[in-house]
Amino acid sequence: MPQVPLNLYLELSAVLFIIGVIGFLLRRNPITMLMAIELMWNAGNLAFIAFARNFIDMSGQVFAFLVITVAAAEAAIALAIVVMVFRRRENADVDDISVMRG
Amino acid sequence: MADFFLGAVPLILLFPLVGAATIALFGPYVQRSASAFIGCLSIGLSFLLTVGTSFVIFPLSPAQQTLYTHSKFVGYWAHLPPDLIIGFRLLIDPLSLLWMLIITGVGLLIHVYSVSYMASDKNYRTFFAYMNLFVFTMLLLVMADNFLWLLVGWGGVGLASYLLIGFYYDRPVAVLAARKALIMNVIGDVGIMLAMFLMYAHVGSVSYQNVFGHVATIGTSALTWIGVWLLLGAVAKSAQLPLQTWLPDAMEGPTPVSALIHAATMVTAGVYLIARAHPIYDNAPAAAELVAVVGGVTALFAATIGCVQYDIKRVLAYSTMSQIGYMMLAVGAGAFAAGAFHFMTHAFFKALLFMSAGIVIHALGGEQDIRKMGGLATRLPFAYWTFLVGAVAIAGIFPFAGFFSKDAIIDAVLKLHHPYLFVFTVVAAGLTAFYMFRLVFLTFLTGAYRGDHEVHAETERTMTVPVAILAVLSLIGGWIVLPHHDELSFLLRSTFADAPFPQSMADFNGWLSFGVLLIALAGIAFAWVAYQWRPQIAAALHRSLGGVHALLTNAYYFDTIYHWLFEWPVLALAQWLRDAFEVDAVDALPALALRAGAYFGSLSNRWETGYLRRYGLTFVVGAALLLFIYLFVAHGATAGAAP
Amino acid sequence: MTIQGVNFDFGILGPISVLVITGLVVLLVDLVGRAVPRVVLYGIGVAGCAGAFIALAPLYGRSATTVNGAFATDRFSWGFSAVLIFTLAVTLLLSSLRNADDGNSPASYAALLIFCTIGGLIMAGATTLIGIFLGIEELSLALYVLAGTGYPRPASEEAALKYVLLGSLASGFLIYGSALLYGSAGSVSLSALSAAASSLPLLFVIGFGLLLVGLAFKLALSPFHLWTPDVYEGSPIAITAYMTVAVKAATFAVLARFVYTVFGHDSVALVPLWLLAIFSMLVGSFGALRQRNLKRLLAYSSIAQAGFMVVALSGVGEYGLSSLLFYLVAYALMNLGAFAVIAMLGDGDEAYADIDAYRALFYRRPWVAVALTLFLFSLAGIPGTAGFYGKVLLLEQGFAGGPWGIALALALIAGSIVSIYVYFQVVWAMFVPQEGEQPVTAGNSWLTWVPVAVGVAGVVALGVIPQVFVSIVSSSM
Repeated sequence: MPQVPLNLYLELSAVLFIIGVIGFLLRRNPITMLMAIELMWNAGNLAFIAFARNFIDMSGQVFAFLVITVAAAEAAIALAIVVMVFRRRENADVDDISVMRG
Repeated sequence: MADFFLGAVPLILLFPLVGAATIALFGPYVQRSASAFIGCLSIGLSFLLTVGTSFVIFPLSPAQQTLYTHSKFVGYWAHLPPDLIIGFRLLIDPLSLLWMLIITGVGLLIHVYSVSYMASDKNYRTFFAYMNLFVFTMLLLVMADNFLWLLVGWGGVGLASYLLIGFYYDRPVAVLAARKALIMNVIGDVGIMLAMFLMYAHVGSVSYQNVFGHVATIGTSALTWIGVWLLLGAVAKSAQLPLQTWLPDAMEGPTPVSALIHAATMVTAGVYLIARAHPIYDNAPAAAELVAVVGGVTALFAATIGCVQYDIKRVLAYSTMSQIGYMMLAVGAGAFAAGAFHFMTHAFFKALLFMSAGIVIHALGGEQDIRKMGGLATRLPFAYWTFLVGAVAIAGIFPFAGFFSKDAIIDAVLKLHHPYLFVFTVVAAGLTAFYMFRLVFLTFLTGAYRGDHEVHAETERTMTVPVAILAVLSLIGGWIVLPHHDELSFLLRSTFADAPFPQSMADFNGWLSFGVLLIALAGIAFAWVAYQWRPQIAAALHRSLGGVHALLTNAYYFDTIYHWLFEWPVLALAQWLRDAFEVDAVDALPALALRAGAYFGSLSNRWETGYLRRYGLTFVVGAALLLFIYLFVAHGATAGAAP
Repeated sequence: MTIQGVNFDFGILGPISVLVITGLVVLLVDLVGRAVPRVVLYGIGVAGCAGAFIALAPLYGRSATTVNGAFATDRFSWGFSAVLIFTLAVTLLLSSLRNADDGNSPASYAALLIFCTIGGLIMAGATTLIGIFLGIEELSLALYVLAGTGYPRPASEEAALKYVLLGSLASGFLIYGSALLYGSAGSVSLSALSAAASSLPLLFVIGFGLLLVGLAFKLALSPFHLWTPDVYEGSPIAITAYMTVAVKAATFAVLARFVYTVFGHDSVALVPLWLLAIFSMLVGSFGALRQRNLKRLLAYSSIAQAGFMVVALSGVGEYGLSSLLFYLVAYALMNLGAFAVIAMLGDGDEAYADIDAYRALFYRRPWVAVALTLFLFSLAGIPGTAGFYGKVLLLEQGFAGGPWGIALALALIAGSIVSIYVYFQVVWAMFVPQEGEQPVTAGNSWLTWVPVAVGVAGVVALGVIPQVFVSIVSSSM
């Protein structure tokens, strides 16, 4: 089976990462922003696994597992905070959440 | 027991500091009497330890008498030159012990005296905190084992003096006097600093041991300069010519302060400095000569002024100046033990005089003008008799303390061949007797009471007991040096062993002593004639010598000269600079800078819009820029590294 | 002890183990007991800090690794760990003031703080990218929640939301950067990275750039600082105090390890860091000029202070690390002290966040005003205080650090001058008398006097006899 070259994986991960960044910048709903962030994190995962495959080294894969675990915890916390904000405001548009400035 | 006292030496220094801090921190939460108690207790403990240490040190053989505590904090402040190591350790030797005994002993008496003297003052606690601070810094000054820590104590006593002269801070005169004293003293501090710089340049150290151990290698010219700069410090602190003008003004402070700081202890720091640095002066005869001349001239100069002043405390201030002149003359001439001896007896009788005068002032509700006194001997007998003891002692009448110490100095000056200075001292001795008894007659005798205040009789035990103790000391204090029994020189022998003039003060020159005694008696007799027997003689003299009288009343116009020489040009320049630059240029610059800063700040704040997406955008753009710069820099580095 | 080929040295892991147990005990006590008072829970936490300190003490001056080389105790970890544990203890003390009816569970609050600190300890000791990531995330996740515990103030919720969203964004950069660094070196251990750092391949440059962005976010280096004022203002005071010190301590441990083990004396690769630092010093100092909220003012000041601390690393010199640590200790003392005063006066509320509340404070609460003045003097770098000597050490490193070092030192001086104006505004407000001021009755809790007193003593001691502490810090390395 012909192997997919490392560069293609990296290019894909870079594209995913940039899509994530753009998504974060363009969306105003915190949940969508979180999804964009997940995309960025998983771009990192993809790069890790590609490198691990390339080096035949386990540590990259371990890192990826760890990122997935942390991502779950992080999503739980972030959603809880969003819910907390939503309960008071009946609205979760990040542009409306700007009491503090200057 | 010996180990206990030697181990407790740092506590001597520590007690007054702890006392000052305790009163300052907790004073407002305790009773007034408690803060006074703490103030007296801390000094009392220091005194007890000092006495104990003296009993340990003095019997030792000369080689063992110099003792250093363990060095603490010999660290570095990274930016000192590595070879300049300044540790903090204390030096105990007979010379510093003598000063410590006087500082804590007389200090204790004056603290006790202040308990009732200051009782009605609203800043009672502050007073005791300042006094304890003074004792701490003064002890630091004499216990330091190098010039840097000496300077720390030196500046510290200057600060305490400043605070206490300006103690009645609602009186503008007092504030001005405090400021004047501080400025004069800082001139002296600069002198000591310059001396230290020279020491460091030539020896690489400022510790007594290193500097005095290397005097032979320094070279006479540099050594003379060190001596001169040290003298500048001594002159400022001890109110000698030409930096003497602050001391009379310092009498604006409370009377116990005048007794402790401006008579007994602080103003003699200059004498201590010269005596401590005697290896320098032994090897720099020109500097030593200058010290002697300054002292001798001041002794006469101040005595003449003292003859015409009407403020009881100012007379005493000029007398202090004159007596310190004697001490400076002694240490300048090389008679170190005699200088130290006069310091000791002077501390007794001058503190006594100030405190007796304080009883009078207290009884008269703050009146200090002797023209408004008179006839107080019957109303204030205790003050009269103690003041009389002090006056007799300072006039140098046998067998009171002043006779012995003054005689030792005059004798030494004659032996060391300073003919002019010898004449000065003899004349000043006569004048001293005259102005002191002028004071006695005008205050306590001479007709009826002339003032308009009611006289409150003194009864406070805390005021009379210390005064009585000092009166006794003024009588017997000189007996430490009796013919064929020179205890003091013996005690100080280890400190001054290497001084070239091994004077034994037990060597009385009978005729000289008798002559000086006669001159003093003549001064007293003249005072009696002019102020008690025939007051019209004084009035006639006053009329016929109007010019001289004006000159003396204004203290030779030194203040006026300094005003036109230093103060006026500076103030005029400052006024001109203010008119010409300050408003338009100097004030405008900070304002401009502030406006520019606020503008930058507002840029930074306005970017902080509160909108999350703005933050995200900034983050991402910042990251992109950073990466771009990084690639640029890293590419440059690798391209540069490539051949 | 070896488990499945992995060796564990519980001496080295001691502080972490103690804190893990403490956190679990706090949760358990709350579970078993009914309505346990918060003082008891926080007391257990403080006792745990003491225990962690005892466990940390034998590691002084040691250099060893465990977990197959993935976790170390060495010159990069000891001092920073000590600061972290101290900060935790102070924060728990300050938290004891918070109103009891704020609807929060004190046990989970304390446990989160403790776990947060464990994250910091992991960061300080981690020698691999995995450990660093794990530590940062543990620290951050707990802080996201803690930032939002300021109920019922809406600002606290807003702070939590902004923090979690931007923090996750930064973590994305961090992860992707780690991946690329891994790709450039073929290993996640920092020692392997130094080989790649010497030749600076493209992957390494982009990877380290992205990682630096992530770390700079945690340090609040400009331009990644925009979240800082909002989050610091919105969070409860104790948490703000914790964030200003603990996050900096942990992140600087990572950064210092990177700078010293990966880069050595090669300063070209670190130019972006220097640029961030210079920018931060200026933005932080100037940004604080117009602030009227003391928490926000201290937030801007912490941006500048982070920039100051970078100066210590500028020459990658022999004494750079000890200078950094000295300044960090000084910063911990003075900053925690200042926040302790704010918390004490408001009894844990925000009543004393505004500068106007400090008008004529000296005449109402003299000792508190004097303590705060001392902390502000130290932050401004007035001689005789810890901050002054810290800045002297930093400048020494800067001026010895080549052209970039000198540029950093000059920025430090400029920033300090501006910041003097900033801090003196507050001092001025406290000391100008005002008619009709009422005495302050709140703020008598002795628990908060402890950090204030420790801060005062420390700031004075480090300012007056710094050489003692310099030698303690130096010989921990």
